[in-house]
Amino acid sequence: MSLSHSHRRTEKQIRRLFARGLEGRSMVRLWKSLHECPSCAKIYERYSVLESALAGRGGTVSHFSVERAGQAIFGQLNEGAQQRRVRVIKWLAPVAGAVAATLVLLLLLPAHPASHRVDLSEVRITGMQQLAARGESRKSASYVGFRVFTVNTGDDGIGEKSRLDIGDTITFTYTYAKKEKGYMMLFGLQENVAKPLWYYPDYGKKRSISVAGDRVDEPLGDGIRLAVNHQEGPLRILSLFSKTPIQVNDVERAVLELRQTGQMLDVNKPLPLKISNIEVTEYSLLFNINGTTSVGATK
Amino acid sequence: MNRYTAVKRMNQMDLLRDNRSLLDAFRRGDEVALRQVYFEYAEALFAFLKKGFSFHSRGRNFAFNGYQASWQIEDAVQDIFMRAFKDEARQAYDGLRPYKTYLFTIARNRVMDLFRKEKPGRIDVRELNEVDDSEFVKDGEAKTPEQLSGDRELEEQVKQFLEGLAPDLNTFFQIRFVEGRSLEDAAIALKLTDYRVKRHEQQIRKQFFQFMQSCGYFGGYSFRDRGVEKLIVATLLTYGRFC
Repeated sequence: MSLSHSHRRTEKQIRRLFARGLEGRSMVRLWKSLHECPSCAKIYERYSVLESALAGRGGTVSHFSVERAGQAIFGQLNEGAQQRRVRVIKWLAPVAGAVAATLVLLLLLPAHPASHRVDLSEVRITGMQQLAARGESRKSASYVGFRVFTVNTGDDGIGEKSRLDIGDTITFTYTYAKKEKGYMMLFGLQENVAKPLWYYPDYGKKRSISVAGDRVDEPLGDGIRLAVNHQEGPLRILSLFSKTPIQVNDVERAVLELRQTGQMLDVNKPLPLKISNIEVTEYSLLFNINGTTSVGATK
Repeated sequence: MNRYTAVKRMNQMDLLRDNRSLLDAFRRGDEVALRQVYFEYAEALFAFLKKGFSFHSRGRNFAFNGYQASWQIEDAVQDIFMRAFKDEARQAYDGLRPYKTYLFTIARNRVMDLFRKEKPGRIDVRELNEVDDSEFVKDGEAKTPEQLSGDRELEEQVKQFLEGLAPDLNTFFQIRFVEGRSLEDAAIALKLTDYRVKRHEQQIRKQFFQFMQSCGYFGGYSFRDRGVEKLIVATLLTYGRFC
């Protein structure tokens, strides 16, 4: 067993893995650490035996094992693709000179290098404050939309926050007043971040997530750490509601087009989505990271 | 293997070999294709690594007794697929032989690599003698009476837990845990949101592990941060500050 191995940390990771899952890279790290520590490996095995017994597959491989290994593989493949892009940029930098390198880095580097998502279900939330745009008007009968809250997950008291800081964790609730089930996308746009900052669906997913109808302020569950992937400055958070799912690729193409107009952060400028036969309701808010909430708009 | 078995094996359908558009997408590294390939072959690979196999190295015969622990298999499976999904490995697959055979060859090579590098504890390998050389038989397959009685006890406890499960969670449990369907499928079947089904699963797992803890299955298992330990740390810090 290596000196860096901590039983307590490993046990916590195992508990988390079996209770609600881990990200790909963390899972692989956990498995590697079990090679070094038979006692932690035993704890893992106990959970695994219980999981199999619960699925009625005592002694045989459960589908959860297959899913777990798959999650580890595709998590690593996605991270690998991002790292390759960073390597290309590093190679280009000395060739193209300082000015060109700065431009390339601004466009490509900050595209979701790591997950900014944290699960809040087991976190002790000591303070939550809504960050809504001022002067925002809504028709309560038929609106769809979302609200943003900052979450204080620390142990040292409640900190009432009146602005969005880079160290904040934010969480969302959505409102979908239509009767039937719908689909939603929620993402952030920033000037120096090439691609959308995906909140829902998560990175690597292909289409919108499903949302239940007739819901007001339904929590979406995850926390988003602004310190990961985000930058200080204006952040436009945009939601797209539809009756059928929208493809991530279509949205990313539209964002690229919108960026070229130079009005990406204008909440009155709708996303130029090129999808036929799908009615999309768009709602966006503009925040300033490390500053105060500025403008809101409903379309 | 006789000729008939060989022909029969050759005629068996293989997802990747028999679907050219999927094969093209796989060679390009398309994620949807990779996912399809993974879920098609993963279960067979799990079984292969659990069962073990014999191999020949430096003029001697050995038997890899298979992985015993689930984490060992999960780690091995992710490692094997990571090798199989590398660009050069994807291009090296000829598209003529069944992909399963190709994947199992990668798995065998990984085990042999570990054996040659003599990583103790990573794999359970024994040397085969002349007598059992002809066919590989795995050691220690049968369970002891104690293990069997433990299994029965666990089965009873699971049954008891399921009896107390709320009706909405029970329906979800059947689809997700018993039928083994994915979260996305469960959401569609139950007309629930992705978030709701995820929460259902977390709830069942949490309740189950807590139930098993109350049955004495875990020593010291806890989902929450341990309040007493926090208090001790806080006391020590305060004490340290004022002394």
